[in-house]
Amino acid sequence: MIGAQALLKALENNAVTEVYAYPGGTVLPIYDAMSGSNIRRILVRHEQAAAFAAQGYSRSTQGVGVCLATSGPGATNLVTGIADAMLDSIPMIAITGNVFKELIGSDAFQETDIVGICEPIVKHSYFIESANDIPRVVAEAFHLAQSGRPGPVLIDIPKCQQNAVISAEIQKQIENNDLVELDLPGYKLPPALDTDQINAAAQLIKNAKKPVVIYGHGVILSNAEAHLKEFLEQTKIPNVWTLHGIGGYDNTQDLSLGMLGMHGTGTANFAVHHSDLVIGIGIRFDDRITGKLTEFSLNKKFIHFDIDSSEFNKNVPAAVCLHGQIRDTLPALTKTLETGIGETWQDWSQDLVLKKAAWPLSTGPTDRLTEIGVINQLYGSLGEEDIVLTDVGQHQMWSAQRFFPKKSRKFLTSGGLGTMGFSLPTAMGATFSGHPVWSISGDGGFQMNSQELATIAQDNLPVKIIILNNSFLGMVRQWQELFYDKNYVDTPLKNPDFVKLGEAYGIPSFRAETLEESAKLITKMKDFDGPILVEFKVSKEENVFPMVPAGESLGNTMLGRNKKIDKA
Amino acid sequence: MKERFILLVVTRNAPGVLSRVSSLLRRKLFNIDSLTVGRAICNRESRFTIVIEGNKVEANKAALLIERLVEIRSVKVMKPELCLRREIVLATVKVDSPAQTKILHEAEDAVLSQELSQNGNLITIELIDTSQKLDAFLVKIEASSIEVIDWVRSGVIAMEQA
Repeated sequence: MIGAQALLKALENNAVTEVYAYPGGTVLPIYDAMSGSNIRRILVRHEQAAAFAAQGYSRSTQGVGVCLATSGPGATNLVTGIADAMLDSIPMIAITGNVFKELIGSDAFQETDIVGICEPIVKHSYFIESANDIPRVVAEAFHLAQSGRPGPVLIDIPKCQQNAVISAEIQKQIENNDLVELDLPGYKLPPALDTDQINAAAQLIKNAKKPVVIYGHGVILSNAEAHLKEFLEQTKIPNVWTLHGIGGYDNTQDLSLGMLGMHGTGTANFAVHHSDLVIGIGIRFDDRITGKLTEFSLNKKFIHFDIDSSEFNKNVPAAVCLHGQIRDTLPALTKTLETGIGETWQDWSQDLVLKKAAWPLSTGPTDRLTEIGVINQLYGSLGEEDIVLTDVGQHQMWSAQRFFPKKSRKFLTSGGLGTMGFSLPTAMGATFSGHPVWSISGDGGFQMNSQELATIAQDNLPVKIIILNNSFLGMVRQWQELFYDKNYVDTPLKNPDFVKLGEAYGIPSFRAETLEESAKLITKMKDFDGPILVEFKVSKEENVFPMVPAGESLGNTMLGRNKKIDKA
Repeated sequence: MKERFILLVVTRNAPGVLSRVSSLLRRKLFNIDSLTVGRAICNRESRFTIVIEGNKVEANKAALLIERLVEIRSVKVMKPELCLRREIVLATVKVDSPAQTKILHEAEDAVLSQELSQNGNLITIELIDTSQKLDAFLVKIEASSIEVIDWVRSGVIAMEQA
């Protein structure tokens, strides 16, 4: 057995069923071995899409997606997808080929130092020195990608080690799928519960007059949704969520005030701005939710739940830090709190409920087809298991503000890196969850990975593709309108005919220009078996509100062009 | 005022660890005053001594970030005065007069030193002490117009007091 065969066997042993990949010179031994493997290959049309498709699998299931690329340009094309996974804490394994070890460092054809390039954007990386290490490295990579704070792991394998014959002992080990001994002596998983900290947190909550919970991705990554529900329903603390917190809790409840941050709801931003205690659960106080940091942390205390201790006191000073899996720490806190504690802040809660009614999200104009209109129609027709993906920009924020799924892992978006072109390739991987998948893109982001229509057609991946075409890079245009005197430099786009484009790839494609056509086509998409594309021609110059101008405080949230929450 | 903190780091002795640690500190914009690394007694481990400029909060942040790297065994943040610290200097100086020789000898007596070789009026010396005392040595020598021909420092190594 050679290294390449050992790699595939090791992947099979780790329950891998698909690999998102693109062939090339330094991965030929792996491709040769793949024909004898049960692992399905998804042939992308650009390696960036392989990395995103792998993420789509990870984000929508609880598995670990795997992508594979050749050395040099193949490897560097993965970089954006790896960086995206790192910032959003997505488990993923990226495998690259590299030139023969003897050629490493010689500027050989298609040689790049991908381990070096990826150093800041991976949880860990490996360069395979010996084919015998492959089974152990693969086992470690899966362990590292999924455990603790998840993240991407890179395995770079020089071609000579793919060709090298492994020892009989190692061969026997992987053929029998024996437990592989990991060699990770320094890798620490979070400590046991710190009851002092739990008690300190409970005390802060008991003394609070205006508490608010911000929950985020960590809740979902820790599978702590049920514990969050229990905590919120017992304490009746008003709650808001981050972009990646969507689905962490059934957010249709009265005290669920909306998404927080730059395009958060007026009530969510108001609540956090005026609170005296913020309980951050699985969030990292990113600048897009805090606004101006000095004002964000003014006159309030913080309780911070996180699995990564380097997040504590990074952006806000926490009075209490609860280090560990949220599924462990949160229920421990809930247990120490009495039911009925919510009466302490009843006035605060009621005031927020009134504000929520007074500051609803816009339902959008009805005299023309807008992105909000399409998104509302879509959400009205979704089933409980449907997965929605977005690209980045205006449609992402409109979609996020309005999404109230009953379950987690139903809203997949590029939060940390904010990668245009995310939606379509990530949707490909999400189809392997077995649930209906809706990919929303703007006209700009769609064209960053539109080549993947070929992959979708070839593999008949059932992606429902929504292109919200306003002929602009909408979010940048909005900033140019509001802050650069409508100086629309390079934001108007001359686009291809998206319907013809879809048809050219053999994908049934349609266009909607009115609300009526839109409603009909969404129904058609819902019932359609297989990939389908619809371009929605939406009005061009709509703006996303609420909005906190960059660098300003949440207290300055603009509900509309001339309306702020502090004046409202 | 800028303080200094010493991070005592134990890592796996694996290829690329130095790069992971140093590039982490660079990309998070920490100010590294000195970084040394060598094998521990156990061949599987390396020990780093990293001196960073900054306050206690920044030093703790750096420690937490380093600790997050998979190959790190342990990180300790220490106030410099609570560690045993040593640095080595190798230097070649040009001594032109008996007066300068006297000054050189006086300066050498203030630190642990030995003359390694002499070639005419060029003397190569080895100095071992804390970084501050080695700084003071250089100040004295330069003030006396002794020409320093070559000067190399090891960076500081440190450990906790027993």
